Amino acid sequence: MSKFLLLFEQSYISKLKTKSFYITTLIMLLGITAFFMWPTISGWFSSNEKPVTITVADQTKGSAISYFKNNKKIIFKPAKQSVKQEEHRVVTGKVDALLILSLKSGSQLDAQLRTKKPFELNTQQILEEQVRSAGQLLTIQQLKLTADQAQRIIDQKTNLNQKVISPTADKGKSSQQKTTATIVSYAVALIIYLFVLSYLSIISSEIAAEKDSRIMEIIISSTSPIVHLLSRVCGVLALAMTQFTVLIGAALIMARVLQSGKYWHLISDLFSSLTAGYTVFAILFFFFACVLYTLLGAVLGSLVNKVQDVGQAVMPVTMVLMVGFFIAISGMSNPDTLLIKIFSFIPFTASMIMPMRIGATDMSLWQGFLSLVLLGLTIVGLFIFSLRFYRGSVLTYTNGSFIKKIKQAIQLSK
Amino acid sequence: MTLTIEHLTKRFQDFHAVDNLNFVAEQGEIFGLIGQNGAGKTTTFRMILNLLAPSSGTIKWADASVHTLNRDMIGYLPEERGLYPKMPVEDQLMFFGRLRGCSKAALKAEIDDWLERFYLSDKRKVLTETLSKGNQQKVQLIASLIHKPRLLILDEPFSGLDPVNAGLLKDAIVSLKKQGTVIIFSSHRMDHVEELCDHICLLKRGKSLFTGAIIDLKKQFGKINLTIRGPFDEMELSKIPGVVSVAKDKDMYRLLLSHENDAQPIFQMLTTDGFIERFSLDYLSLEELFKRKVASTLV
Repeated sequence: MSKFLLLFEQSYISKLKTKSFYITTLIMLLGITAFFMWPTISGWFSSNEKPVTITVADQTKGSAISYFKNNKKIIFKPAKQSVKQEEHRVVTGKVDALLILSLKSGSQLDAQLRTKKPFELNTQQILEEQVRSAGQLLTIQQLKLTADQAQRIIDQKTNLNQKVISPTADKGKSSQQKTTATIVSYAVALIIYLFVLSYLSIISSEIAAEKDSRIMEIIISSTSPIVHLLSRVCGVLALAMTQFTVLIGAALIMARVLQSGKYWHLISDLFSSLTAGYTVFAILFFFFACVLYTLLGAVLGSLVNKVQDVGQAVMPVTMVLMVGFFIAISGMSNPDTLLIKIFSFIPFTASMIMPMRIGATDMSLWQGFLSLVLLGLTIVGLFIFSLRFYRGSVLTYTNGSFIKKIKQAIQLSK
Repeated sequence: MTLTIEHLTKRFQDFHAVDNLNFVAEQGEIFGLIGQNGAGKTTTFRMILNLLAPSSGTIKWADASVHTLNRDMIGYLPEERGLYPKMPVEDQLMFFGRLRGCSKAALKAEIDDWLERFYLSDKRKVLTETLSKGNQQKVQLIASLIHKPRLLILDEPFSGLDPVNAGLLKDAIVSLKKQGTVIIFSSHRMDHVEELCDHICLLKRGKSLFTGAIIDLKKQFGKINLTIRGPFDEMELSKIPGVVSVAKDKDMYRLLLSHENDAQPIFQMLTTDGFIERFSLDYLSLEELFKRKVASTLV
C-alpha cells in the first residue's frame, strides 16, 4: 500500500506541478470566462459595426414596406427614385442594397435584392426572416382580416398535452425535460470527449516514457506490475478529477458573479428540470468512461516501445471516441434512432450516448442500468486482461503488430 | 547469504535465451556475468529480479526461493538510463530510496553522503536531464544502492564513465562488497570485470562456457602470453617453434605460445646473444580469453 501511495503521489503531484497542466487549465478557464462574458465581448466587437442600409422599392402599392422593421443590423429606407437610379446608388456605394418588392401571380410577395457585395450570413438570415414575415402579413392583409385577427393568427400556439393511459407504463417526460436533458447530455458528451482525449494521451505517454527509459524495470523489480498500473491509472484519474473540479467550481462562481447572476438562474432552472436519476447516471457514465479510457491508455502505453509511437497507438481509440461523440451530436435532433440505441449499449461509446437517451427519451431505466453494467464489466474485463500481460508488455521491446506484441507479452508474463 | 542458480533455463518458444545455467554468488562477492550482446545476461537478471519466470530451474537466496527475499533488499541498475529526466537529482534519489522502503529521514543522510562521495553535492537541485552522461550514470548507481541492498545487480555500470568516475564507481562497489552485499555484475569492459570479480560466468547464446574463478579459466590456457623487448625481427620471431602468433606493440612484441612449456626454450634462444630488456610470461587477459572462448577468435 505504501508503494502504491508513493507511486500514486509521484504520478499525481509531478503532473499537477507541470506547466502544461497549468496552461491547459488556464486556457479552459479563459474559454469558460469567454462563454459567460460573451454578451459583453460580442458587444465590444459589434459596437463598431455599422448597420447596412437597404433602400426598399415597394411595387406592391405601398403595403409591404411597413412590415420591415429597423434593427441593429439593417436599416430600411423607402426608395425615392426609380429602380435604375436606386441601382446606380448601390453601385456607387451610397446605399448598401436595394430591395425590390413586388407581387407575383397577383398576390404572392416577391423580393429581389441588389447589392454591390454579398451580405454576411447573419445579415442575410435577418433579411430573409423579415421577407418571410412580410409575405405572411401581406397574405393576411389580402384576406381582409382585421389587425387583431391577423395578430391572433400569428401569435397562435397550440400545446400538445400528452397523457399515457396504460396503467403499467411510465408517465413520460415533458418536452421541456427532454430538451434540457439533450442540452446537458451534449455537454456531458463534450466533456467526456475532451477529457478522455487529453488524459488518454497523458497516461499512455507516461507509461511509454517509463518503459522507454527502463524506469519501469526498476519500479517493477521493487513492486508488482499491478501496483504500478493501478497507481498510474489512479494518479491520472485524480489529476483529471482535480482539473474537472477546478473548472466546474470556476464555472459556478462565474455563473453566480458575472452578468448579474443571469447564468446562475439559467443553470438552476436547467438542473431543476433534471431528475436525480439522470444526474446520477450522467456522473456514473462520466466516471466510468474516464476509468475505461485511462486503463486502455495505460495498456496501450505499455505496448509501445517509444513515446513517439504513442500517437499512433492511441489513434484507433481516438477514432472510437470521435464516432461516439458524433453519434451523440446526431442524437440532439432525434435521440430515438436505431443507431443511437445500438451505440448506447456499446461500452466504448455508451457514456456519451446513454445519458442522452435516459434524459431525452422515455425508455425504461433498465436499459440505462444494462448499459452501465456492460461498461463496468468491460472495465473489469480489461483490468483482468491487463493483469495477464502487463508484466510482459512492459518488457517487450520488439517491433510488429499489436496482436503480435500482446501475444509476446502474454508469453513473457507466464 | 548466498545466491544459488541451478539449471536455470528460459525458453521463448523454440529459442533458448538461457540454457541450464548454474552458478553460486557468495556473500560479499562480486560475480561477473559476461557475454556478447544477446548472450542471455539481461534475461538472467530479469529472472533473478522476478520480472520473468524461469521455464525451468531454480534461483535461491539463502536456500529459499529468491522470491522470498524482500524486494526492498534488492538493488538494480539497468543497462540503459532509468531516471526521470524532469526530476531534480535529490528528489530522484528520494523517490527510488522510498520505493525500496527507506524512510525520508534515513535517506536524507544517505543522499548527502553519496552525493558528496560522487562529487555531485552541487547538483542536488539540478534537473537530471541537464546532467552529463557520466553524472547521470552516477545518480543511477546511487539510486540502485542507496537503500543498502543485500543483492545488487549491475548491468553495464561503467557505460559512459570516464576513468576518474569509473574509479569512484569501483570504490563504491568494493565498499558494498566489504559490507557483505552479493553483487552480480555484467560489463563489456573485461578489464573492469577482471579487476572487480572473484568469479565469473561466461555466456554464449544462453549457455555457460565457463563458470568459476577467473584464475581457473586462465589456468586452463596456461601462461602463454609472452611479452618481449629487444633487438628482434618480427619474421624471425614468428618462425620460432611454439610461437602461434606475433604482434608488435610499440617497442615490444607480444607472442602467443601454443603451450606454457614452450616459454623456457624460447627464453634460452632469445638470450643466447646476451641481455634482453624484457621477457615477461603471463596468463592471457580476460579480454583475450573472452575472445577465444566466446567469439572463437585468436589474439
